[in-house]
Amino acid sequence: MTDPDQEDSQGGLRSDGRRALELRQIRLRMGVFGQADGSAYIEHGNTKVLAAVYGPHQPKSNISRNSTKAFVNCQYSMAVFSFTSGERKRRPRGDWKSQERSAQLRHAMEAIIHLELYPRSQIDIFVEVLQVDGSDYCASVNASTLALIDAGIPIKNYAVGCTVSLINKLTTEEEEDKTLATGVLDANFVEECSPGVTLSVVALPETNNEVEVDGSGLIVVAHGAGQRLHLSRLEALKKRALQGCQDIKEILDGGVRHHLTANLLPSFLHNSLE
Amino acid sequence: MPVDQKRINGPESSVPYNIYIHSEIKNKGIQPDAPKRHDGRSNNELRNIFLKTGIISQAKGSAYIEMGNTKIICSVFDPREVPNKTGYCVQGELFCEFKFAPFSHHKRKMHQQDAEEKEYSLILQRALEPAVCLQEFPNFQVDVYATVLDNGGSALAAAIMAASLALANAGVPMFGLVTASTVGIYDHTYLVDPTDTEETFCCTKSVPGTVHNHGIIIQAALPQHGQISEMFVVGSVDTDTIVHSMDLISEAHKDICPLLEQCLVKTVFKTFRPNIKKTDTK
Amino acid sequence: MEFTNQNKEIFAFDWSKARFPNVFKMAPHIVPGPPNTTALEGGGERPMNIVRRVGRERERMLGMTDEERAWRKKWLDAQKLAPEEPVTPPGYYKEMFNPIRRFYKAPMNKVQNMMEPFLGYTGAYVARHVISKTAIGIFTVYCIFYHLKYNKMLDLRNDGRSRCQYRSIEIETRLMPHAHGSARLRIGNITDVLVGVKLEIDTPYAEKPDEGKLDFFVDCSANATPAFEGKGGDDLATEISNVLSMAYQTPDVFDLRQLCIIPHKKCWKMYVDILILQCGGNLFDAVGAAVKAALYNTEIPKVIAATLDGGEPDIQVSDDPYDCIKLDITTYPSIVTVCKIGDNFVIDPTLEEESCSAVNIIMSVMPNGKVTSMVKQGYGSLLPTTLIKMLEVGKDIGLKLNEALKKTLEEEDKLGRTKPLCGFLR
Repeated sequence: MTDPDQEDSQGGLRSDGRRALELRQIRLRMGVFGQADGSAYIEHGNTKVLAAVYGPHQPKSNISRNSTKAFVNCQYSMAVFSFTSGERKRRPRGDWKSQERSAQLRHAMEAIIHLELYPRSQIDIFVEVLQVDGSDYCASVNASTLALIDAGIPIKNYAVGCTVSLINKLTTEEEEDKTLATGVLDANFVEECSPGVTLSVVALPETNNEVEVDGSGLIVVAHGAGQRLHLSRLEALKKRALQGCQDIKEILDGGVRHHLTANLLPSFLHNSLE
Repeated sequence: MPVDQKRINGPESSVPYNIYIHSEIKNKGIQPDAPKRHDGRSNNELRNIFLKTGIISQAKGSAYIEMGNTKIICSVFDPREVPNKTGYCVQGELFCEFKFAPFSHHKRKMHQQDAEEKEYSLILQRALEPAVCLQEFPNFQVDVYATVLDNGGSALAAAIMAASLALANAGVPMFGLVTASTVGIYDHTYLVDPTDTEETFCCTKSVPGTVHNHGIIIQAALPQHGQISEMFVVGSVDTDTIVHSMDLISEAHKDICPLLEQCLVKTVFKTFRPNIKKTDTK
Repeated sequence: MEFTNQNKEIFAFDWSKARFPNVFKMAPHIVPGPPNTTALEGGGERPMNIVRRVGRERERMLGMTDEERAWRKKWLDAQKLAPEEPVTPPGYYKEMFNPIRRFYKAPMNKVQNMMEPFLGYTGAYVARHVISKTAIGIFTVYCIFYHLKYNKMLDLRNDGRSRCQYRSIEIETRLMPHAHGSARLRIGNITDVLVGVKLEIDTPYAEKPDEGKLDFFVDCSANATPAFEGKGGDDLATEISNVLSMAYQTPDVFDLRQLCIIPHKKCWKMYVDILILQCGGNLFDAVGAAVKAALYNTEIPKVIAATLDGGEPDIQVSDDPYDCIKLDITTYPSIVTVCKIGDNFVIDPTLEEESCSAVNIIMSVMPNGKVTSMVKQGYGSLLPTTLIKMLEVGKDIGLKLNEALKKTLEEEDKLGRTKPLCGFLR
C-alpha cells in the first residue's frame, strides 16, 4: 500500500518511479496460437494477458440464430496462479468479478466490430490473464483488439483500454503536488489498491480525439477502493485517460504493422522495409 | 470444492475417533508373509459373493452384490436423450455415477461426489462401455447409478459387476458380461479381493525409500471374449508384477463369471415361472 | 492369307527349326497319320502327306523299295535349308502374335534388329531377352521395396515420425517469478501447457499429522477450444488431475513428510496449477512432463524457526530468497500415453491420431522403471497379451522420457537465474 507521504518525497514520481502520464512497457505478440482463428499476447509491465478469438461461426445457442447481427461471446478468466502477491485464486472463472469483466469486455468489443457483416453468427473472444499487476481489464481489452485484428474480423477502430487513477491524499490541501492528484495513467497493482478511484477507460482513440468526449464511442468502467469521485474531477480524468489511450494506440498500431510486415511479406523484402 | 447448499452437512473439520487408536492395534492381523489372511482366507481366495437382481422396483434394471462386507446396490434406468446435446451422434452413451453412501466409510462421506468418486465413475463407465452395444441406441444415454452401502474393500470391482448385472437385467443389449476383481500387492504378496484394511495397507507403505512393490490393481474383463475392458493400477509396481497379477485376476474371473450367469438364468426363470422358490446364488 | 493347313504346318516347322538351330533342337516332325484338322477347318479335304509311308520308322523297317528310298532321300534333302531360307511369308508375324504381344514386343524387336549387325542373330536374340528380363526383374524389386517402404506397416506416421517418436518438446522454466515454481511446455508447437506451483501454509489432516498436502488443479482454458468455455472443460480437467494425483500418490514418489513444518499444527500445502492453453493431442504426457519441470524448479522457502508458543505455532521464514529447499525429482514419474491404432502402438498421438484410436493407456513411469499408475481410456477393450505389450512399450518410452527430461532440466538450470525469459513473446 502506498503511503501518501512517500509520493511527496519522490517529487511527483510514482511508487515505481514513473511519472504521472508515463505508461509501463508494453510488449505484444500476435498469432501466439496456431489453432485459434486469432490470438494475441500483451504485457503491460507485469500484467500479462492472452486472448484468443474463434469465429465467426454458427452460434451455439438458439437465441442468436435469427439475429441480424453477430453475437459476441466473451469469457474473462484469470489463471489461479495469476496473483502477484502470494495468495492463490480459488477458481479461474465464474466469480462475480470475472463475470462482470466478461460482460464489460463484450460491450467494448461489440462497439468496435462490424457486427452487421455477420448476421446469424457468433464470435468467441476468450481472455486468459496469466499475471495480474493492475490494469488487467485494460490489458485484456487491448489483447482482444489485437486478437480480433489477427483473426481478420473487420473492426471500426482500435478499442484501447487505459486506467487512470486518482491517488487521493488524505489531506485536503490543494497546494500539494497537482500532477499526481489529477490522476495517473496505467496504474499498477499497488496504485490500484491505494485509497483512490481507479477508472478503467476504454476508448476509440481517433474518433474521440478531436470531438472532445462523445459518449457513444467511449466505454467507461469505473471501480475504486470504495471512494467516491467528485463530478468536477471527471472531466480532467477523462482527458488524461484519452491521452493515455492515444499513446497506447500508437504502440498497438506499431505492433500490428510490425507483425504484418514480419509475417506476411516474404523475408527478402524485410530489409528493404527497414 | 463446491459447497452443497441443499443439505445441512456435518461440521467440515471433524476427526474420526479411530485415528487415536494405537497404530499397532489397527494394523493387527496383516502380516504379509503369514499363510492365512486376517479373515482366514488364503491369498488367492475370493470372498463369498451374493448376487441378486431386480431389487429396485422403480428402476428398469437393478442388482445387489455382496462380497464379504462390501455391499453395493446398482440401478439402471431407461435410455433417455442425451441432455444438452445439439448434434447427432451415432453411438449411444453410458452415464455412470459411483457414490459412496455417507455411512459407508469410517469417515463420513459428503453427499456430493468427491474427486475419488468421480474417478471411480469414469472407471466404471470405461469398464462397461466395451460390453454394451452402444450403436443400438444412438443419441440416447443409459444411466447407471452405483451406490456403495458398505465399503469392505474392492468396492469398485464389485460395483462393476453389479452394474453389468443390472444392465443385463434392464435388457440393455450387451456383448457379454463384465467381471472385475482387485489384487492388492505388498512386496511379493498378492492379495486377491482385498478387504478395506488390506487396501489401505497396500496403498500406504510403511517404509518409504525401499524398492518394495506395493499397490492395487483393478481389472475388468469380458471373460466370454477374453478381452480386458478396463485396467487400473495405482501404487508403485513393476511390469512383471502387473503381468503376474493379471494372471491371478484372470483365474478369478473364471470363477466369478459362472456366478453372474447363474444369477441371470435364475432371474429369467423367476420372470417366467414366478412360483419357483427363489434360491440364493452363492 | 491363303495357306493350306499343310503349308502352315511346314512353314511353322521350318521356321522354328531354322531360326534357332542351336537353341531349340526340335525332333523331326513325324506324324503317324494325317492330322485331324476337322476342328480347324470345319471338315473338308484331307491334305496329302508328303512323307508318306516312310515317315513311320516301323514301316521303314519292313523294307523299302528303291522308289521309296529315293522318295525318302528326296524328302530328307528337302528338309535341308537353302541359304536364302528361312523365308518368312509376309503377314506371318502378324498371324502368329496377337496385337497385344506385338505391341509390347515392338521396342525390343527394334533393339534386337539394331544389335544384330554387331552380335549376330543368336547374340542379339539372347541379349534382347536378357536385357528385357533383367529390366522387369529390377522393376519388380523396386516395386516391392517401395511398397514396403511406404506401406502402413512401416514405421512411419503422417507427420514423418516413427511410432515411438515424440514431436519436439520445448520447455521453459521459471517464467513466472510470482509463483514458487513454474514451467511452460509445448509439444510440437501445438500442445501448450503452463504450470505454476504455489505454496500456502495450512494445517495437516488429523489422520496424517506429519504430512503436508499436495493438490493438483487443472484449468482447461477456453483459449484451447471454444468447447472448454464455462464448465465445458471440467470433465477433462478432473481426469487429468486425477491421473496426476494417482501418479504422485505413493510415498515412493512424493514423500509428503517433506512438506511438514510442525506436526499436527502447520504444513505446506503445495498447489500445482496446470493451465491448458492449447491442445493438439497428447495432453497427459505434456502435463506430466510440465509438472515435473515445474516441481524441479520449485523453491520452498526455508523455515528457520518453528516453535510452539503456548500451543500456537510460530513460523519464521528465512529472509534470504535464495535460502530455500529444492525438491528431488529423481523419483517423480513421467506420464506416457500409449495409443493403439489398428494393430500398432503409437506414442505422442496428434489430435487426429487420438480420434482414430479406440483404446489408449495412460501410465506413469518412475525413473527406476516402476509403474505408479495406469488407466485405460477409450471405448474399446484389449486382449491381455496386447495390454502387456503396451505396458512394455510404455515403460521403455517412460524411462527414456525421464532421462531426456532430467538432462534438459539440468542443462537449463545451468543457465542460472539470469537467463532471459521469452515466455509468449517469441
